[in-house]
This record gives sequence, structure tokens and C-alpha cells, in this order.
Amino acid sequence: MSSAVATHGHEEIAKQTRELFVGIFTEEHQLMSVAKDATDNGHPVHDCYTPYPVHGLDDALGWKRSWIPYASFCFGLFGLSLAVGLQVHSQYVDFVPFWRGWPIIIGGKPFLSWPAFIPVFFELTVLCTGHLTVLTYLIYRRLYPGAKVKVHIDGVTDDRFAIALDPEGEGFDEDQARALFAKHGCTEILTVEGRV
Amino acid sequence: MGAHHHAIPEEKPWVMPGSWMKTAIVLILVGLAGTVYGFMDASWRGWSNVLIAGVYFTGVALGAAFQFAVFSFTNGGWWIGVKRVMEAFTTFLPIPMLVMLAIGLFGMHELYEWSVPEIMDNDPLLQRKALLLNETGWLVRVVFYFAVWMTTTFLMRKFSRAQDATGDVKYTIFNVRVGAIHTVFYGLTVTFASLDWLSSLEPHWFSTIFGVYQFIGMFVCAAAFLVLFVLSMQKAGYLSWITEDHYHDFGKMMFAFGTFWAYIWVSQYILIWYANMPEETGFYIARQNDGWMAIFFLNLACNWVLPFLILMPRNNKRNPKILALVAGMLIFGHWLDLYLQVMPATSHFAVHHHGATVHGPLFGLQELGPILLLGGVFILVMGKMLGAAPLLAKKDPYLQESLAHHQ
Repeated sequence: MSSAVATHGHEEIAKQTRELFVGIFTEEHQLMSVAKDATDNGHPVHDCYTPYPVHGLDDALGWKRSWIPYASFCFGLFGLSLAVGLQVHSQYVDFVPFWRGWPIIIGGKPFLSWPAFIPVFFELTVLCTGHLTVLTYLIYRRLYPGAKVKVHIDGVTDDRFAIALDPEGEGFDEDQARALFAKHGCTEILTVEGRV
Repeated sequence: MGAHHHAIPEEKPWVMPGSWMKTAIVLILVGLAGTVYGFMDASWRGWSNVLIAGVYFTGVALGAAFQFAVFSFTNGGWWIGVKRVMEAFTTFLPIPMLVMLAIGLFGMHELYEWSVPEIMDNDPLLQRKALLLNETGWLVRVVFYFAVWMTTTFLMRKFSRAQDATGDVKYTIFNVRVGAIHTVFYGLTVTFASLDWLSSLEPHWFSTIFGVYQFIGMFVCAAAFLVLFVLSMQKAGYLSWITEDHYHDFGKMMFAFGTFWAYIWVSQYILIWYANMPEETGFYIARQNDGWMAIFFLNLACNWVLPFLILMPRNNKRNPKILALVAGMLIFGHWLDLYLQVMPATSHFAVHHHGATVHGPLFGLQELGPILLLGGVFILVMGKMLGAAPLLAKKDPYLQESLAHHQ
């Protein structure tokens, strides 16, 4: 679901480190089944780490839908309002002192020829939605340049799939966790220092 | 998702549901009455509606053929579960071909001013276009277009069904090639066909984006038909392997390509509005005056504004009731779109050359006739053709991907 430096799904991000109990898998479907099994049986899953987005992993982990689409919608409305304001102001408002637009007759058309504004409505809506959504995501997930690496697990940006359990979480039992990992074909068990 | 442990679902052999038969019979009876009434009322009106219906159902079959081709050559996986429904749609092509040939042989003089020799003789501008705008050429091209489309769709169906026996991956590769070839020919033929059939109703007017506009209308309409047919088949107990995640993709298809339709609509409108040149603006002046303005905006609302707003939230794309509502809106919307392109032109022609007295849009049983008639025939033909091959392409190499499809 996320790259090695991202921590999804945790609502509280406290500045502390702790040892994470990590199982490594070589196949996507193994990770899917272990994630589902762990969630269903009350193991405290911290996060999963995969080389590429795995469809359905968020459902397997029982995560809620992200709020980011709603933010995108708002950014779209903001971009549209910006486009309306920009064009209406510059083509119409010449009566506000110190904040005048510059109405110009173009092609013999009236000042407020709104069909001519449509391309800019479209472009600014798309521009604001796209850029602000990406920025929101990067800031919210702390993926901006210079952000500290939270968890480092070898190979999860290449060909390995990892699930990390939180040993301090409620319901953690190391023996059961080992058995769970083994059942789904785990190839390696690590403890990794994670900034959680 | 990985191709792992998804059992191949049990498949019920296809028998046309009784409700389809009933709907088809009602549509055909109403349609026949409307068509006969339309021709008795005024033959230009009868032929105009036959033209709308012929182009409309050519579009349903061609839209499905294009989707089949594109999903094939882009190595799509999610659509394999509905592949056979798309195949069935493409088998409908011979019937609209008969409709278009009937127009070319018997109805042309009621619709196309360039087919009337007295008009042609007195119009130097049209004489310059006589190479394209002549009756023989028009008819020959109808045969040519349908021959191309029927050949490529026949090959795509053939390879798809041959795979059911052996599961040989070479058939998938064949369809990548046929799909690519179809798309190239389709791009050219659909442009020329839309010039022949629709744009030449107003032979002095021109728009270079006209072919793209017709193409995307067909695409969206075929997607909407696909949604309604799949939902209806599921209600009757078929296509059990189509899940909410596939609905989500249907929703995205209608959402995205409905928006592309609006993009092309605006691209055509805004350049003509901006340049404001009399030889181009005539098209829109005829469609914004004499009572046409309401239909002009209803067209935009049905084909883009409402579907766009309704389908924006994720859950609406996954809700079959809402999908069916939007599909119905788009199915009506595409008819309205064609109606808005054909009727102002043909009624104008009828007023000036056939002594008709029409002012503004007409809507009655005459308009419902041919479109409902062909709609009824379409349901009957689909009821038959869906049984021509198993509903699930069991040996398609992408089948597992489709069964495990997840958003």
C-alpha cells in the first residue's frame, strides 16, 4: 500500500520509536491473506509495506476510506471560484478604487462573455485539484523532502512484501504472531526499529 | 491482484428472460404504429426519425465494437466478464445497415438537399462538393463502412470464441492485432460516415471535430446499454461473477466518457461562437431559436451535467440503481443529441422544399416510432445472440484478473 517510508492508517503519529514485529513475504496474495487473517484475529497491525499499490489491501486491513477525495472536491471548487473571480474581475470590475480590472473588448463581444471563460474555468479547476491533492497527500503522510525515514525494511520497494505488527499494541502475542506468519508462507521474521 | 485460487463460476445456459420478450413486443408494436403514423403524417418526418434510429443503433453496435477493440489491444483484464455481452452488441450491425440502405434508396430526397438536382444545379458551392455529395457515392460508402465494421467485428468474435475450445493464448494476440486494425479503420470510417449521414444534412456547414463528436456519443451510449443489459441479466440470474467492483468501472466509463463528450461538445461550440462567422454559426442559430433552446440545454443536462454530478461520489458508481438511472439518462440523452442534430435541419429543408409548415421542435408518436421499433428488435436480437457463445469466456488468459477485480 505504501512505500517504505510511509505509515498509513495510524491516526496518531507520536514521536517515539519502537520495535516492530515484521513478517516478510514474497507473493502479493500471501500478504493479502496474512493481512486479512491478522486483522480478523485481533493482531495489532501497524502497517503493510509493498513495492506497488495492492488493490484490496485497505479492505483486508479494515481501514476506512481516506478523506482526501473530499479535500479534492473542495480544491476543485476553490479552483473554479478562482477562475470565475479572476476573469470576472479583470473583465468587469473597473469601479473599485485601487482594485480595478482592465475590461477590454475582444472580438466585438461584451465584457462578460462567459463562454470564452470556460477553458480557464476548466484549467484552473483541474490545476488546483491535481496539485493541491498531491500536496495534501504528501504533507499528511509526511513524504515531503527531508522527512525522517519512519521504517526501513530491505526489499519492500523491490520484490518483498512486509506486514508489521505493533508489539506494544493490544492483543499482541509473539508465539501466535509467529504461527500466523508461518501459516501464510512467511520467509523471514525481523524486528525493525520504527518511528511510530 | 494476483491470479490465485479463484474458482471458475458456474454458468447458467442463456435463455432469453420472459420480461425481455414482453418489453420487445411492446416496443415493436408501439414502434411500428409510430413509424407508420410518421410516414402517413409527413414522409420527411418519417425518414428523419428513421435516420435518427439507424444512426443510433449503428452507434450502439460500433461503440461496443470499439470498446472490445480497445480493451483487447490495451490488454485489459477487468472486462472479460462482460466480453460476451459486448460481442452480442456487435452482431447487431446488419440491421442498421438495412435501415441506412433503405434511406439511401428511398428516403434520400426527403432529407438531403444535395440529392435534389434542381438545388444542386443552382448552387455553385454544393457543386464543388459533388465529388462527395452524390447518391451513388453515399450508397457505396454505406456498404463499404458496414463491410469494414462487420469484417473486423466478425474476426474479433471468431477469435474470442475459438479460444473457448483450446485456451490458446494466440487468440488473445490475434485480437490485439484485429483490435488495433479495427480502431484505425474505425477512426476514418466513423468520421466519413458521420459526414455522410448527419453533417451533410446541412451541406454548407462544416465542423472538423464532427466525427469525434459522433464517435464519443456512440461510445457513451454503448456503455450505457451495456450497464442496463448487464444489470437486467444479473436480475435474471446470469453473470453472477460481475461484482460491485465491475459496477464501479462501468460508472467510471460513463463518468469519464460523458465528460469527454462534453469536452468535444464545448470544443465545437466555443470555436464557432468565438469566431462568429456566418457560414459556421448557422448550425447553432437553427438550434437556439424557434423553441429549440430548451432542448439545446436539456441535451447538455442529460448527457453531461447530471451524469457528472451523480456519478462523482464513489458509492454512486457502485450502486446498481443509480447506475441504471444514469444509463437511462444517457440512453435518452444520445437520442436527444441525434434528434437535435437531425430535426432542425430536415424540418428546415421540408419547409423550404416540400411545402411543410413546421415551426420549432416536434414531438409525438411519430418521433417514438422508429427508435422504439429498432430498440425492440435490438432486445430480441440480443436475446438470441447472447446464446451464441457461453456467457463466460472460461479460457481467456485474463479471466482470473477479471474475477479477482478489485478497486
